[in-house]
Parts: sequence; C-alpha cells; structure tokens
Amino acid sequence: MSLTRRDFIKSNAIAAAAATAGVTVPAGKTALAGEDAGVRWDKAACRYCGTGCSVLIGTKDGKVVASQGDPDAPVNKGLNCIKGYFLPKILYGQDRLTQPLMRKKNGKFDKNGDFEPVSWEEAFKTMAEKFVKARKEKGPKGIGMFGSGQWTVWEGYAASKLIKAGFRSNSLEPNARHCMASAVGAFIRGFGIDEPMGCYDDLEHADVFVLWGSNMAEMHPILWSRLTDTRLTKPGCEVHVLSTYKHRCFELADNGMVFKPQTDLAILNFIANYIIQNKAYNKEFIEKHVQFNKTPTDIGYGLRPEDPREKKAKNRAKGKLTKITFEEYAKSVEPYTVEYASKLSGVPKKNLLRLAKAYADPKKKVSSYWTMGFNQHTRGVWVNGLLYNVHLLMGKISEPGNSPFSLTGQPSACGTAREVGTFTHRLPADLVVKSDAHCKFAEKVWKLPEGTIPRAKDPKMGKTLIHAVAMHRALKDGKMNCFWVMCNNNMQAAANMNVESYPGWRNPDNFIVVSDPYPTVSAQAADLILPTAMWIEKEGAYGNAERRTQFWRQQVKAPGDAKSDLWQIMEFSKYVKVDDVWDEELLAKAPEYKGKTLYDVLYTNGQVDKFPFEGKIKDDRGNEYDNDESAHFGFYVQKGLFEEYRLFNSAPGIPKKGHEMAPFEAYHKARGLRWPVIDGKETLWRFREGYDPHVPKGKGVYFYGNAKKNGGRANIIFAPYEPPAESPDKEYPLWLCTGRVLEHWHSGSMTRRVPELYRAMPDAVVYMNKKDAKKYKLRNGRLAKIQSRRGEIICKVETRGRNQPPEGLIFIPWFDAGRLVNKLTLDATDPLSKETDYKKCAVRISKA
Amino acid sequence: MNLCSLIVHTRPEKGPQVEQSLNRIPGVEVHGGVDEGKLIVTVEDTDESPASDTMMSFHDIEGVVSATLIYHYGGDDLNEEVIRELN
Amino acid sequence: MAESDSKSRGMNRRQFLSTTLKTVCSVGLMGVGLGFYAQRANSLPPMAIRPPGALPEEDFLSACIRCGLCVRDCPYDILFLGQLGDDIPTGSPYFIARTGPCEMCEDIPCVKACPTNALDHSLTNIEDARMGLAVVVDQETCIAFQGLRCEVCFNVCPIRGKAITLDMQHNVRSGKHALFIPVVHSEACTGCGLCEKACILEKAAIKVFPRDLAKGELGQHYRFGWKEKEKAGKALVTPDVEHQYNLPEGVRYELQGEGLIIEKKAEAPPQDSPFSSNPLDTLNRKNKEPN
Repeated sequence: MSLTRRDFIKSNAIAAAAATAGVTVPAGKTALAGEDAGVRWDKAACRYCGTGCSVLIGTKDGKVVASQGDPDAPVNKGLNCIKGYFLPKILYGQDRLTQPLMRKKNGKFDKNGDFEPVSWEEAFKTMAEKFVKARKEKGPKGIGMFGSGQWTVWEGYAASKLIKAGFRSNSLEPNARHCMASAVGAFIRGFGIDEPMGCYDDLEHADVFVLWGSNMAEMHPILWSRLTDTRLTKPGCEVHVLSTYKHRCFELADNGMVFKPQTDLAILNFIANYIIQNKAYNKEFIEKHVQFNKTPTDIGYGLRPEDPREKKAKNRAKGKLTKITFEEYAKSVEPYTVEYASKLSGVPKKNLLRLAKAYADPKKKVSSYWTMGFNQHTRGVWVNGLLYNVHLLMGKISEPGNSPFSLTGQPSACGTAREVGTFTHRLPADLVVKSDAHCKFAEKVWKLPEGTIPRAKDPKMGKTLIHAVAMHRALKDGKMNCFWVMCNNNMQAAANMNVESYPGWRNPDNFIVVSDPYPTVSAQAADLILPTAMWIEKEGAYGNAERRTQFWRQQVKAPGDAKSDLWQIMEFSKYVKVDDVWDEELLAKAPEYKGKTLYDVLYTNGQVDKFPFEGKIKDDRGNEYDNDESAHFGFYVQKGLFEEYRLFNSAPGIPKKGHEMAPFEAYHKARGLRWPVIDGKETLWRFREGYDPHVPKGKGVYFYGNAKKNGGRANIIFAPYEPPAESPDKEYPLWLCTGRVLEHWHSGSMTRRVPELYRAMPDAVVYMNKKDAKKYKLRNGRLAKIQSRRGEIICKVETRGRNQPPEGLIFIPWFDAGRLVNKLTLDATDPLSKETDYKKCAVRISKA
Repeated sequence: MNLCSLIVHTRPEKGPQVEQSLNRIPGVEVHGGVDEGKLIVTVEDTDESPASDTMMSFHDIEGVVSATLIYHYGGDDLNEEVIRELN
Repeated sequence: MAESDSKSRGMNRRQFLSTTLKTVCSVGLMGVGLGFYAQRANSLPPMAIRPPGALPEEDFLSACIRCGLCVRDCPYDILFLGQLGDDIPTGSPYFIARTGPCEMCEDIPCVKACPTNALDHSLTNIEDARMGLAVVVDQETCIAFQGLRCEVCFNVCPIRGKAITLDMQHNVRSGKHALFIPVVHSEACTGCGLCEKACILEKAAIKVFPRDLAKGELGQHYRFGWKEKEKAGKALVTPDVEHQYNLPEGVRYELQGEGLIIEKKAEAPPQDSPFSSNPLDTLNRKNKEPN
C-alpha cells in the first residue's frame, strides 16, 4: 500500500483531533501503517529468558515491521510476556553502536583518551598485539574472555576453540557463572550429567508445585501462566512458595512462606528428616538407585584468601564426597526438627509441616522449581543438592509431574554456556579439562596436536583454571592484562564493582574489549568497543531450560558496521599467528601449522568449512534470507560449526553419552527439539525406562551419568546449615537482596531502550517494609541512600509495590544503569560453584 | 497550503445532520465522532475558498455549538509524493 | 539531584504545555470567532481529573477560587490550571493521567494548600481519595485478555491488591496457560491514574474517568445474593435440613461443594499423617505408572 505525504499529514491531523476529543475514529483513518501484504514471516526464539518462547518475525524491505507470539510453539502457544510483546524494538534503540570505537590520544591508543571511531582492521590489530603480548608475558591466565549464556550455540563453540585451542588458555568464562553454576555443580555431583531430567510438561502433570527462591511470576512469565492454569483447573492442586520476601507468586500460593536468608538449608534438611521419621521414603527406589554421601563442611565463602572469613575456614573450597550409610544420613538430618527449622527460619511450624507432608505423600506428584534464590547462594551447590535429596528419598524424579527443575535465566545458558562448555573447566558435551582423556578427545575432534588444550593442572603451565570472580580480581591485581567481554554487561552485573570490577578494568596495565550493540556501563568502562549485530541480525541457535534447542535464520541486516559475535571471533583469529601463541614443542608436533593463523587452524580445518554457501539461505516456502557471516567467510559457517560440535555428542566412541543432537537441518524445520535426540526422537524425561533410550530395558530408572562412578546411582549428599558470609549487624542492620522485575531483562541494556517498557518501570526502586520506612524516617516515593561497606546508591522508596519484604530486608532490582546496586553487593561466592551470592549482604538506609 | 483538523461540537441529536452539511462543503471531510457530538473534521484549501473561510462558515450550520482548531499544517504544497517506512 | 531534575523537567513541561495550548486556542479564536467560547460545556472533559479531595464538580467549581495554590504545592508538578479556551473551566486545577498521574503523596500537600476547602480538608488518608475510577476500556487490545503476561497496571497500582486484582482464568485457546485479567474495584480505586500512565499500549486500554462516567449502577431492586449473605454473616433464610441421598458405595454427594464425588477406592479416614499405618504400604510402592 503506497502512502503519500499528504495522507500522512492528514492522518496526523485526524489523530490529534480525535485524541483531544476522546473520540475513536474508524480504523484505517489513522492507522496508515499498512497491511501485512508483502511481509515475510519466519520463526525465532525469544531473545530474553531461559523459558524459550518462540515468536514470529515479520520483515519487509529489510526491516522488522511486525511480530507475534508463535501459535504453533509448544512452550508459549502464541503468548508472550510484556518484554516479548515489544521484542523487535530492541533492535531499533536510538543509540545502536555502528562502528568500532577505541580510546585514543594523538592518533594512538591511550587508556586515558576519548573513544574515537576506528576501522575493524585497526581495532583487531591493536587487540591482537595486546593479547599476544599478555599471553606471552603472563601465561595462559594473562588473557581472558568473558562470554555469555546469550551467545548462540556456534558463537560459544567458536569462542571455546579460539581461547582453549587457539590461545591455549582456560581463561574463558560465561556470565552463566553468575547465574547457573551452582545448579550445574549439583547436577554433576548428583547425577554426573548436567541439566534437568524433566521438561515443561511437568507443569501440567504435577499435583503440587513448590517454588524455592524463584519469582517465576515475573521472571518466567509464560511458565508461570502454565503453572497457574494447572492450579486453577486441576482439583487438589496446591502451590507452595518460599522466598525471603513476598513477591508476585504469593498471590497464587496456598502455602506462602517467608524465611530468613540462608535458612533454606535447614528447611530442606527438616523435610528430609520428616520423611525419614515418618518412614515415608521410597525404600525400593533408594536401595536400587541412590547412594548416600556427605560433603566437607566449613568451606569458606569464596572471598580473597586474606579475608579473615577465609582464613578461619577449615575446609576452604573442598567438595570431595564421602560415602555414608542410610543410617548415618538419617542421623545427620535428625537435629533438623520442625521446631529447630521453624525457629531458625521464622516460618511457622504448621506451614513447614504442610510443605513436608506434600513432599512425603506418595500419592502426590511434586515438581519443585528454583532459580537465583538457590543458585546465587554461598552454599548454592549444597542447597540444590538438598532439594534433590528430598526428591530422591521419595523417588519423585524423572517421571511426568515428579520433577526437581532448575529454571534458567538466560536464553542459552543451557544450550551454549553449559552444553558447549564455555567455562574455564569445561569442554563441549560435559567434558572437562581436568580429564586428560577428555582433552585428548577434543584435540582429536579439532584435528590438533595432543597437548594443545591446557589441562586443569597442566604439566607445563601449572594451574590454568580461573573463574569469573577471580578474573576481576586478577585484573585488579594486574595478573590478567587483556579481557574481552562479549554479549553481556559484566561491569553492571558483577558484584562489588567499586572495590573489584571497576579498579580492575581501569587498571592502567589492562586492555579491556567490550562487544555490545549498545553503550552499556561495561562499554563505558572499556578501552575498545566493538559494535555487535544482535539476535535476528544473524543466524542463531539457543537452548532453553528444558533441553530444547531452537534455531532461527538471519532476518535483517545489522546497522552500519556492526558485526555478529561469531564474525568478530572468527575474523579476529585471522590476526593471530599460531607461532605467536603456541610454544616450539607443540609446533614441532604439527609443523604444517607453522606460519598459519588461528583462523586457518581452527576454522578452515576441512570440517568447519565443509559446507558451501550459495549466497542465500532458502526456506521451504521459497523465501530467501541473508547470512552475512557465511557470505564473508565463504562457507556455511553456522552449519559447519554445529556439525563439528555434534561430533562431541553424537560421534561413535564419545567419552560421555547423553547429549545427542539432531542434524543441523532438522532444527530449521522444528520449533526446537529436546535432547537427547536419538533416531529423530526427542527425550522428554531422562533416566526413566521407556522415556529415555539410554536406560536399558528392565532397569526402570538408571542414572547413567554416574555409570562409571557408582554404577548409575544418584547421589544424596548431606550438607548442614551454615551461616551466610555477611549478616546484618548494628552498623548495617538490613539484608539487601537483588534481582529482576517483569518489565526488564537483566541489566536493562535492551529493555530500557524500549520506551513502553521504560515508561512502565523507569528506574530501580528500593522495595521495603512500611515499618522499616517509618523507622528510618523514609517516605514512599522519596529518595533514600543505601550504603554497604563497599559503596552507596540513591533510589526511590517503594513501600506499597509488588515486592513486599519483611522487616529487616530490602530488595533492589539491578536493571538500572543509573542506580548500580552492585556497588553495594559483596563478591562472596559459593566456594564450590564460584557463583556469587547476590541475595545476601548487609546495608543501612537513610534519607537522601 | 493549509490543512487543519477541528473538533466541531454539536448538539448530540444533530450530529448526523451536521455531518451531512459539512460533507457537502468542498475541502471538508468528517472522520468520526458523530455519535458523541464531537465531530472530527479536516479542512483543506480549495480553489474557491481558503481553509480559514471554510471554517468560519461552520457557524452558520444549524446544530453546531462550537468549533475548535486542533491541528494546522501550513507548509509547502503537499504533492502526491509517495513516502514509506511508516512502520 | 534526581529530585531537582524532575522538578525542573516538570516546570518545563508545564510551561511548554501551556504555551502550546495558548497558541492553539488563539488560532482557534481567530479562525472561528469567540462564539464558541461562551457556549463551552460546563462539564469536564473525560480525561481531565480533579486533584484528590475535590468536592463534587458543581460544588467544587463554586468553592474553587482559582488561586493555583494546589498547583504550586504539588511536588510532582502534575497539576494544570484550565486555560482560556480549554474545555476546562478557566483557572481550575486538573491533571491528565496518561501524562502525569497523581503520585498519591502521603501528606497530600495539594489539599493542605487549598484555602477554601474545595479540596476537602477532611481527606487525610490519601487512600480515601476518589479522584476518578480506572476502567479497563478495551478488552480487545488489552494484551492481558489475550493471555500475554503484562499486568503492568496491577504492578504499578499503589493500592496494592485492592484497587486492581488479577482474575486468573483458564486460557481455552492455548489449553495450558492461564489468563491474568485485571479487574478494577471501585471501593478501593482512588483514580490516581498511575495505571493509565504505565499502560504499555499505544493508547491506554485502562483509563481513569470521573466516577459518574465510569460506574455502572445495578437495578435498584436487585441484590447479589452471595454478597448479601456475606454482609449478613449468615444465610438470610434458614438453611435446609441435611440432605440424604441414595448412592452406591464409594460415591458421595457434597451439596455445597463439588456435587457428586466418585471415589476411586475407599480411603482410610483422614488423619494427621498422610501415611498408611503400615510402613510397608509406603515403602513397597511398586505399581508406579509412568504417568
């Protein structure tokens, strides 16, 4: 439909008059936006959380003109949350970065200079110089890359190759370290294989739902909508919610419980004790499928070693399991009576008993859900494990409706960070650099000489592992000099930014690169900013929380000179020579690689560049799509990387089974497939005969991840209650808990650029109890100053908001770049998972 | 050239009648609000009469209570140049 | 700092708006003549909302001396005075919810400032204010009615959980999701307009109107039976004697509950523990169907 300027002015005139009069005029008079003729529709996974909703994207003339929830997507059936409703707008923020920017003075890089536009060539040349120098002088930990659970699968895979095999360094971490590491730790310790056994269909099959430290109503809105529907339509269905403050989920709760921070450890041990005392446990299941263990206690808080709390810890960061008997386990949980749990947690006895009974009732199917309340916890691996203990005692696991289910916060924390293994200690498909055999297998797949990948304790390089929080500390201490942050906003996201992150990034010895579509807080603190093509400006793949892998095609081109993370990783590798970063001994093993670039060795190895690119990607309806990376590199890059990655989980002779993926093309034809995909068939529930083809006939249940360790049993692991790293005292009398809100996603770098979302929730506020507000002479809507031992921020007081904390606790969301709550938080981590506890530190509050 | 929009208030029962009268005047279009008694009207210059004169004449129409100018475009002549990207 | 920022921004916005209005209306006057001005309707246009505590419109207009003190004392600068040529009586205070809703100050400075009681000084709890009433005017565009997870109006409502509640319903179309339908309760809504401002649609689907425009009225003769019962605290007519039914074994009938209940098998009477007295029943669970 063509539209003249005259029509346009006229429609404005009508709209203005109609608005003033409060009159509606017939559609069409003002809505000249046009019809959907000529719009090309295609599917894509939502860019935000780990739910993994699918949307349909309508493009016309190279621009996204419309979107809709995908009615054929099993996860969301055409629905979206409010963020998803505005999804395409994240591409069109006014301040998209469109060219590389570097700090310069007098035409040269200068840490104290202002940002100036530079070419990609100059950017990569400078970067390569700095990275090679740091790698040579400071060893494998001299450089670092901090990636993302928002990377597409192949971006994470390409990054892993670049850092682990190219630069021969294990300094690769994703922001998923801040998010899912504790969940992973517990999966590996409990089951020997990562990710949930159940799937979202549990939401329709459970009789009882229990939420532990998850505000699903706001953070996983579509799943919450499914849970609510089951509660409304299934007779006898009940919902239990546990949190340290009242939030939206309490509206539906039949049994809402506000507990004192950290006492979830005691509540879970009480439930186990209750099950045992009442002899409700499933004896047959325990005998066949479970092994009992204990874990070392008094393990510290992941702080710097000189911190007195670390010096005091007897078993700092220890986690080796010791086998115990059922009787010993029963004895360990015996002190956790209802009286003790109630006293410690502040939850009334009757509520605790009601919860315990729900778990202990053999007739009720129970699904437990948790997110950051469990994971961002100085005892995160423990508390995840304590919940598995309860499910395992009852045998309520791995079948429809009986599911302990760890929800994820990022769209591909599972698909990329965890499955591809972009952690310091991991390799693809649950392989680890601790294992020499796993490294050798990876080297074989990658066609690289033995010894290329640094071992965790490498015979030559020493200890090579370094986790996210340690990276910021190493930057501050000048031990790491180059840091590439991609697809996340770690300056805003990491805890204790005043003391650790910011001084680390601005350390004059360091060179910090940030790749982002927008000028984030991280970009502001960087030395080189690389403009990024985002989401549907590239072909992509995400893996959601229920093991569903979803693909999309490139829908539009990125603005200006912005390039995808994949392009950046691969193009940068052309600027580094193998000879620059490999030692003589290794080169001698593969003399044919001498003089080659990392690009040649890693990405044109005959596997990644195996599939030709014909200039356009075509779908089954005859539509054509660009693929800018493939056009640039001259082969179907995404397919080549995915098919090579698939060798880790589907090739014969793989070290660990259970992660099988379908061939590349299959994912463009489906709205996601849940792995393991075997003979084209998806797996909904793992470890259960009939549902999971890896379980041999007659076994019933088989935890094959532990096959080698203990013959395929799940581990029940006793861990006690231990106090948090920092508790309120006289000087800092309040708990601070941080988190998210429905309208904004993570650091808000995308959602705060959607005007409607910004209007709906403009700035972070401090949610607090009315009595506390009175006590500290604060008024709703007025400004307050919040201080911790590490920093202070100012924000508006909200006493009547959606979150209603008990006295003694305040909640501040972290999406707001104008009110950086991580100036206040403490970088205490779970010593086992190295994940930060963002939910507990001590603060004080006063009138600003 | 001029292009204006107005709200023409009428006695509610006279809405349809006023609408008819207005639509008969060259350069005038009614877009809605008849039932509410608040007619959304656009007025453009014609060869016979500039928009301002046309608007003055509204007061002679029976049933019109008032007319309020809301929007006025007074720029270059609006040709039929096709523009895009309204989305 | 942020506060002074918003203050200066507020001033600018107010100045801007009043000059725009002046321009528009002077043009209007020239073009159309003064005739219409005198005929201007006495009632307020639906989008203009009076400040908290305003007397009923007619009383308010006679009591308000157009001094502008409420406008001066509003800390959020949301109040305007009607300008010559507006549909709003000149000099009388109002706000527009979509652009600047009432922030519901606990100390209600606008009311305190009013020298004539046109804003009623007996209003001391801002939650008792009845400026208008929020109405979900368009169920077709409100995305919550389609099952999308929005609920922004519910989230921003300062009379939390009372003025707007969410009615959770089964989503028949998707079959496995719920709808979270916003419902406004007139007995609690103050008409502050925060919901209208926050509505994420191009045009708000929830709007604040003056109460008399917004509220339906039940026929004088009719009562909702269940509400009357609740009010009285008991049934208005003596309840039935206990009913008895001819029923086969394993079947019960709950008159006021579910109706006919067919029990799968006879169950042990309810007790304090959910477990059978014989632990073996619990321990040796064998026939665990996959579903």
